[in-house]
Amino acid sequence: MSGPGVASLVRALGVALLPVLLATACAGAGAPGVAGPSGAGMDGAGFERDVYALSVLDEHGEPYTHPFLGGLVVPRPQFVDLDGDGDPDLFLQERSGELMYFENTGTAEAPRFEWRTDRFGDLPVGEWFVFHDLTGDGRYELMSELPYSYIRVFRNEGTPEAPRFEPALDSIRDVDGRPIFSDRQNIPQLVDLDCSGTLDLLLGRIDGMITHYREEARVDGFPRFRKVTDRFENIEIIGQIGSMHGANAMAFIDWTGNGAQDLLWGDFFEPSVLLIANRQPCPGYDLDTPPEPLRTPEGNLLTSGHNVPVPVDLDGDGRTDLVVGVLGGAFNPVLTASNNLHHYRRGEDGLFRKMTERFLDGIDVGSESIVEVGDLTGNGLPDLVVGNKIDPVENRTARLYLFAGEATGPDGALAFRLADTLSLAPAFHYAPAMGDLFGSGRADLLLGTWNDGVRVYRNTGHAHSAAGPAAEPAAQLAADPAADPAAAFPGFEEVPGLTLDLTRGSHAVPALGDLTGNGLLDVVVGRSSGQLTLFRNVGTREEPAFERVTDEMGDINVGRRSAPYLADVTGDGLLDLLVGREEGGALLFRNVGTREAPEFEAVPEFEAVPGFELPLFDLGRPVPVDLTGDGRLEVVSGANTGGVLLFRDGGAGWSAGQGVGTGTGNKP
Amino acid sequence: MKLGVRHAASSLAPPSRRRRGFLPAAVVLAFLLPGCGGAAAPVGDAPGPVPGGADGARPGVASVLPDGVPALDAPGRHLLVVCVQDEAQVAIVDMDSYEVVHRIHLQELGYSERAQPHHAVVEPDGSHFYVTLIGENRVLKFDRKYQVVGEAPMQAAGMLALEKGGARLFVSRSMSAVNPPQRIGIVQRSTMEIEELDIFFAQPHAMVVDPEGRYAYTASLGVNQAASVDLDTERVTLVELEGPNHVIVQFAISPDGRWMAGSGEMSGELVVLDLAADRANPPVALRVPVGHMAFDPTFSPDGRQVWVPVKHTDEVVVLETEGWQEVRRIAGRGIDAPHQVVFSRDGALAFVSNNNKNPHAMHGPVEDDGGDGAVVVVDTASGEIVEVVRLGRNVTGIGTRPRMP
Repeated sequence: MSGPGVASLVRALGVALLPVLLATACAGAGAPGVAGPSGAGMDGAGFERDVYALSVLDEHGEPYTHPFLGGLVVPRPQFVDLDGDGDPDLFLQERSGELMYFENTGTAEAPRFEWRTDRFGDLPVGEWFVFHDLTGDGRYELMSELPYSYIRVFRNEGTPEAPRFEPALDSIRDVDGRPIFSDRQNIPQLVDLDCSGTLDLLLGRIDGMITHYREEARVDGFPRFRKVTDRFENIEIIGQIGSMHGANAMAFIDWTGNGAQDLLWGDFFEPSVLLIANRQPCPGYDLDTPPEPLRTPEGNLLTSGHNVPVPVDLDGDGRTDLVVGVLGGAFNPVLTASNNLHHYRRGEDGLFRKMTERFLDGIDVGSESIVEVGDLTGNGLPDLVVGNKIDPVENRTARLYLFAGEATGPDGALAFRLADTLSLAPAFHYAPAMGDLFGSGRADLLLGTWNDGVRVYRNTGHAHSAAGPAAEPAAQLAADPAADPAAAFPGFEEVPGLTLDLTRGSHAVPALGDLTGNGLLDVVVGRSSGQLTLFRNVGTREEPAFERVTDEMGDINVGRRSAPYLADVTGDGLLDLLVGREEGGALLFRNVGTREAPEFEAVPEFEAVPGFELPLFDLGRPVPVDLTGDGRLEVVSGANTGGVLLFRDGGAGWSAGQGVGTGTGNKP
Repeated sequence: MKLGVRHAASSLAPPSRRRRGFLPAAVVLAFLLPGCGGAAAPVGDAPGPVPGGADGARPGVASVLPDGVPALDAPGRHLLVVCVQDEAQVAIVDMDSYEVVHRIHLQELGYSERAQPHHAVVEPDGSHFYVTLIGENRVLKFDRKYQVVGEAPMQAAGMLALEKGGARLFVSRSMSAVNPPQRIGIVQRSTMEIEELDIFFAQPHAMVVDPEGRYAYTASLGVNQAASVDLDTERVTLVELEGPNHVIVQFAISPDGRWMAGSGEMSGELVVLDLAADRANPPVALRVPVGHMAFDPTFSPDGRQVWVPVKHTDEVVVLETEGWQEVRRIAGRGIDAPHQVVFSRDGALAFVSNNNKNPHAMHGPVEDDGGDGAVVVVDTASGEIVEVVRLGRNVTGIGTRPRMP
């Protein structure tokens, strides 16, 4: 997690950003702030995700273990020793159709999970996945949904060390060859209940009951099942106030230590994880017992509901720990939008101690994060400003999370620290953009919102005397989200009368840049329709005034939820347009006009450029900036999953020397 | 806790996989099916005014199909569209004779046995009706002769609401995905082109449009929030719902547009909002306990009552809107996990759909549980059960031609 030295970073940033600052300071001079050789290549190898590029500290000063993971909202985990090295690896589904893989590079006693990929084997896993050795050959097969609601099977045709999963079955079938359906929102389970050497297939149903199939034959090595009952063991999960059970997940494990497979259950209407004890060891089984919520020393295990329980011994002590993916059910999922992968350790008293609510810890502000980069603390280092859709703590507004850039370690490596948070207006979906709008040399703030347009905030200057980074981490933030933001960052005050309203639609995402060559920062606003609105700055350096030019800028429409950013990524001195969108990825529109009269032509999606990829998550807004000080631009982005992603240039040729040209004018 | 085992034993029919890119083939197949003769209305056959009077008979349009099946807009006929969710069927029931006059077998049209038709709405003139298939992630458009004439794809499509006097169909989300988009669908009924509108919260499920056609409303299954949508500007306003976790399943709006009632599945309350006070952000006027697993509420045609199916107790709870007092609980033959209520035009009869399976199972199949669901006909004056029409496993959404506003 080492970063570059500050000296080199400042050099790099200076090269990249000084022209922009100068351009802004010399408003009216017509300089767009970008200079450098033209023809930056877009034919390189594209951008590659780097989860661990820089160190990021949380509000307690502790480093995130996966700082740029991108956040989690609906994590569905499973631990499997896929590589056969004796410790469990972690697979996790966050997005439909994709499977994340974290290799355990630690030991059976001290696991260390490292992100490897967001799309394990590029396998289309639908809404769920389960690894199980279906064929009994000692290798795991992968079951997943084949939309809609079929149970597809992939077989490992590779080795444990180099798995290669290939489609094997389009559907698990019954003894008559008919496909067996499993509702796509539920995660099925396989277990040998009676120790007969044959498999039982259990399908949770939305009514709180379980359909039981039993293996009765094998075809090509794969089991065929016969349905036993739709009311397995007469189990019907009864909630606190009646029988009302929705999407669900379950797990079998000998929880009570009597040699029998007990059942753990979580569902939409259940705030806890329920244990249904199996009273009879093999060769029988008896789960006709009342469900009981799992308990902690503080009471029942409780979340926002729809919990995915995953038993696993993570520390090799012989006791089963529990990892719970909290998908969020009927108990306000917003509350768990950022803390939703819980780890419990079971004590000798049988109770569960919560070890963390962020088993894969990284920047995670809830959902629909949007990132801006700039030096707000005035220490010459970039800070990260991350907005969210709705604050997980105070649900009546969104919030900005301010990560201060600071030099750390003997080599002065850049790191970020969660130093403060800021709630500026009672609005949702904060989308920040920064630039010097009032000629003060400081970064002012545009704040896009869900349905209140774009608000303009003036930077009132540093509220404390220290010009450096925040002196103390805002350790109290989690408990007191209303902590004074001026303690670490400058204050902002809204400028009445400058709000930029959308003609129609919602989810305003602003970008700043001088598009008209008058030295003033214009505003491009993305919105829900996927189109862009252009506001021209017709004011002065000290008093901006915005005039709507068009709601269909360049006839650009990127689908849904356009999220623009202005930067010269082609090195021709003109601001190009990068646009994220709901469906993920980003589009690049090269500026083929002039500084005074730009025209934008659509460049195909990044992936359409040979060798070029920028695999943003859904709802990302790409911000090109050199954070690592290697002289090349990275791209940072938020995501629908609430975190921050960082992509390194794998050959696209976007060098800092060619100028990031964000147009924000706020960089050192 | 356990409930007693309810035994039944119907097995699923052999599965058939839906053909990919099936719509044209499905439509062609529909034309070729016995009893489905005659030209279908063109896909672009937009709903229009009702020239034929109150019953909407259209001059020059055959009211009886070649096989004797009455068209949905047949003069003098009052027909009920019924979703038989676990049978992948849509039944058409005569609301006067209580006979099943037609069944649409979705598997024969190329949809899977898990198509799961869930909710239905009918054009005021009976020219078309719409059905959500929560297992197929789409909305189907049928014409008056029960032909599929269009469809709109939408992940986890749930509930439907017609824009009164307008051209749009509003579609919410079901629970058939882990994290469905936080949007509702807006379908142009003439073309079935769909756009989606961000609603901000998770699981927007309830769906209703006010009688004036000015606002649509939805609510979340996960958080205590509703949302209004200004139909002119499509501006969305969040509406906070006080009280315990409600899990609002569905809204109903009184005929005069004054009240909007939402059924709280988890809270067991009917949440009444005062639209007259603020249509964009209506305050909660009161909350009336009705019982857990309260489902789709419906105002009587005169607006004096609200009928609320309550699955947990297998009852239909009747409230007077004057004072919001409970006046009756209807239970008995055929009322088992009641789901939705539709009134006859004169308000004399109520038609109650019943899952007849364990609570909340309407979102998933249960092969051997409870047996056939039913539409139960209730005399609204006496509360007596008049008829029980068994239709198949898991009867859910029902719809008929709404009274003209």
